[in-house]
Amino acid sequence: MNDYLQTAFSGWIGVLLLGSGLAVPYLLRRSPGAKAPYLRRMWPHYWLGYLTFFASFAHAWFAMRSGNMRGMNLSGVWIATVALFVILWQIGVGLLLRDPAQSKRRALRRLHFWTMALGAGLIVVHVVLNRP
Amino acid sequence: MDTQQFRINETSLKWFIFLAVLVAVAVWAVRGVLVRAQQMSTADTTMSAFASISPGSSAKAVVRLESVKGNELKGTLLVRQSDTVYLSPSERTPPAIAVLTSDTSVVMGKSQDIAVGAVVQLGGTIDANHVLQTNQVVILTGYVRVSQKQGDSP
Repeated sequence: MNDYLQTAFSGWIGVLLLGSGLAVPYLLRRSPGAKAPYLRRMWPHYWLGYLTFFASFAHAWFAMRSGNMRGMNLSGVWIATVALFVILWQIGVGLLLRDPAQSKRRALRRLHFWTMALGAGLIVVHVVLNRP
Repeated sequence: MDTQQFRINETSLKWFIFLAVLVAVAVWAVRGVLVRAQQMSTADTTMSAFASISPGSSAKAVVRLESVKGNELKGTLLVRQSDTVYLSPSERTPPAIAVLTSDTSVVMGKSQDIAVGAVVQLGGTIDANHVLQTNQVVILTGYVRVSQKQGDSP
């Protein structure tokens, strides 16, 4: 049961961090009276992104360390694995966007948005397929 | 007297709604996890204890199903070593017999998961023939490991 609790809580913490990280840019976008530039005010978004990856990695570690995959939906496990790499890719794109002098900002923002949509979709499918 | 009205600006309202949604989702997730954890808390009923349960009493047992014929289940009662490890008895023991009833609920899986080889926790009432009339089947396949005989490392 401890294995289940660790896996379940780390997974849901990852989901909450992802949801928060996803919402923060929209909440910060129009802040009347904000003095700091938008990219500097986005620091919670950056940290939520990094923490999402670490929580997801911990979740995968807790789930797989027992080495017992019987009874689990393997498609869901593969989808979660892809989602973990998508999160890592998303961090990479995000790091490029942090540069204020980034010349391909428009294209990268679009990529960042659609990567987020893909990652969130994969995680929803993983939750549906692998929830006990 | 101060008649200043309580006012909240748009930015604060957005953050308030965001935090409220976050807290609501967190509470829902934690509750779901704890309810499932409670359902997963496995029984530790030995064969001798199971055999001595009097008719009409409620019982819980973790078994590996050896036969599934319609609503009748037969299985080997497993001995608990830890939350996730169960031992199959080294000597041959009489099978635990259970019957699925119309009230039986299946937890952590589907009815299709009740098959030969599955590890399940059966909960219900012992009848006069010492058959367990189940009201709950918890599918433990994949969540617990079964070691073949006592003394084996899990």
